[in-house]
Amino acid sequence: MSVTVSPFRGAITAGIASINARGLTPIQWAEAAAQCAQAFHIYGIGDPVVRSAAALGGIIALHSTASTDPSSVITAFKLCASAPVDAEGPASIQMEGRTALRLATHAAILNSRGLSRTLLTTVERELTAAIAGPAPTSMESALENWRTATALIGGSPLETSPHLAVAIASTQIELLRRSRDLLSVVDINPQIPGSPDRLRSSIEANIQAWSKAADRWYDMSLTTVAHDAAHTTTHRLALAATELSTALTDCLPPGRQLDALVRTGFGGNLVAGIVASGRAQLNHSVVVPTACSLEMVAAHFTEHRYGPPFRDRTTSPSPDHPALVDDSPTAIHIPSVTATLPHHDKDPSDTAVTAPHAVPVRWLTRQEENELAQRRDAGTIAQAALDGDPTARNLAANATQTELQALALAGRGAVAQLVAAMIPTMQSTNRWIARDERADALQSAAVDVAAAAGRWDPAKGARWLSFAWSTSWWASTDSRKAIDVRPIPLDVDLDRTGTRLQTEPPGPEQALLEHLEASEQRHLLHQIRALQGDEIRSELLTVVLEYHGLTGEAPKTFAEIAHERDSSTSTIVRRYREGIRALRRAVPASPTTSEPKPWRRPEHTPHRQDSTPRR
Amino acid sequence: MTSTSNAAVGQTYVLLREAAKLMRGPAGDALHSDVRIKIAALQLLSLSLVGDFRNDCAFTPPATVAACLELAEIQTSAWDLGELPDAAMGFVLALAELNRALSDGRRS
Repeated sequence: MSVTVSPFRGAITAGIASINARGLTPIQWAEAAAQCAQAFHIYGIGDPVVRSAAALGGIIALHSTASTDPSSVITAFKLCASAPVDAEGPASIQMEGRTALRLATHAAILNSRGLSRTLLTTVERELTAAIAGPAPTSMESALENWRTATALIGGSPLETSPHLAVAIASTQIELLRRSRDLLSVVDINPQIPGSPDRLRSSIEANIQAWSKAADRWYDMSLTTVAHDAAHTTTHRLALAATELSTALTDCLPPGRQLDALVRTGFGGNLVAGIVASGRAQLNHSVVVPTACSLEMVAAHFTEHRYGPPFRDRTTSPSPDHPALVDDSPTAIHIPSVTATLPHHDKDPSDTAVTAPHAVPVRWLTRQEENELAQRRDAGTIAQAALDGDPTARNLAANATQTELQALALAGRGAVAQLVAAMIPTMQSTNRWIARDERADALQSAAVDVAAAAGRWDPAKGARWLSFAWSTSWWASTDSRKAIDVRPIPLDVDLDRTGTRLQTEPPGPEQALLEHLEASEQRHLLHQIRALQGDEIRSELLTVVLEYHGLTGEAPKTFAEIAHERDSSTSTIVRRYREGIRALRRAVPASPTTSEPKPWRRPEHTPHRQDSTPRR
Repeated sequence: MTSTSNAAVGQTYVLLREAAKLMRGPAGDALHSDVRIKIAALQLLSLSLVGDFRNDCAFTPPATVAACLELAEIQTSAWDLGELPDAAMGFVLALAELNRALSDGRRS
């Protein structure tokens, strides 16, 4: 295979030629940016700046009435995607691709004016910073992704709905408020030519404009009959907002945070303004002019030639400049949810790794779940080896005592993290339980979840959440049952309360009822067995029959059935539910024979009538 | 999108939209910046979960951010968690976590 190290060389040459000739039209640039992003995608390079530029190109193309004339720059970018590359040089390819796009952007700026020019200037600035500056932080990536997702909404031919506009406004206002607050707690590099006061007043003006527009969109959303935004782009925007909210809770120093916000144009504030205003109302928008003005004022603070523009203040904040984190009782501190997973190579004496308060509570990905399961298994083996189990000792023959201790500790930490990840779900599930019984139910559920964490096997296909959720639900229900069937206090006189425990054999009426129930069960079983294969799948039917002991054997638990079939319990529970649903469809049951679903919230039992005579 | 009815998801969305509106006003100054950005993200998440939402919810949302969030959490706890897709489940958990953090913040 022939190897070409620089596929973007032709695009760079064409870009320089274009700058020296007539430049590019904005719509030509949009096409070039799309081709560049496509080439990056083919090479497997994930570059948020280039992705964002391509998405912005979509907006520019949509607002432009001119047609795309052929250009040597577009052709050169198209050729990049098909050029064979050196597999070991993605970093250099990325750098050259950014350079080529930057040159094309500069060529387009020469031919643009107004809003397009402002947008293109932002892109050029970011490409320059990406080439020369340090690697982007998670916050910068999240801000770029947010801007890309917003731009993709704007690139859609659908008009932005008021529902979406007000949601975008909420996020954008928060980004601006945060920037304003951060500005109060950092020192500005004195060599920066921009005015901090002007930056602050521009941010404030933009917040006011967004708030005014958001109130109008909110009123419109009350009367709009349907949410008409495209689902895919809305979902992508929602994910970007979630990523952003997580990245913002990271403990980056204020200076770095503000730098990221300013460098990304406050998370694509101008783009968001264009998108939320919509094409029809763009000329009457109150947000876009103030966002343009802010963009120009903030451009001075993106300059890194004299060092970082914002520095963390070392002295305590003065009353005139309150700290970002308000210590007043009304301020609410959100604990960080982005702590990293514990590692094997940590010192076992480092108790912070597995201390309960250090276990992060957050939504685990599949990869993290699998990693935790592996760590748990390694920890179990290591602990067994430490306890002197001969098989485990053979397995861990090469490990030293310290390594085994570290592995055992990491294993316990992994289990703790699995359980901690379930706490919000357990709390949410236990809401229906009476307040004074909730703590007991939660404790019982936690004990069950901890046991489930020990036996959960990701190889069987069930996610940890699905597996543990059903376990914790059943645990809380069991706890409730245990409360409901508490033994009657010994000092209660059963004769006086009128309650009498049944110790005698059933009477004729009860015997008849039991007989009828048994015959009804036999009839139902006959009907089930007569079902055809197209009405219910055989594996579903088998699970139902085995669970209820209708196969001639004793009833089995879900766990027993799962064990026999080498499957997970949650899979068996799911099959049981599907089977019951299919049976209900196939076999019409009378209302008296239908049972309440075990996983449904139980109906509230009526209060016992008070037998105390009223005064 | 979800096994829960559109009306139920729509009501949750209305509550979060109301919470976001309230936090844009003076009530938002009492909240931490992280909380506000999370509410905005949850508003978008709930919007992405709404299928064919019609503004015919016959209920008046509460007048405070905390009450809106609490009511939204109560509503989502009634959803059929066992059959929710990942996105909806993530939303339910994030809402519960935010509510818990708010409650802890109020208590401390």
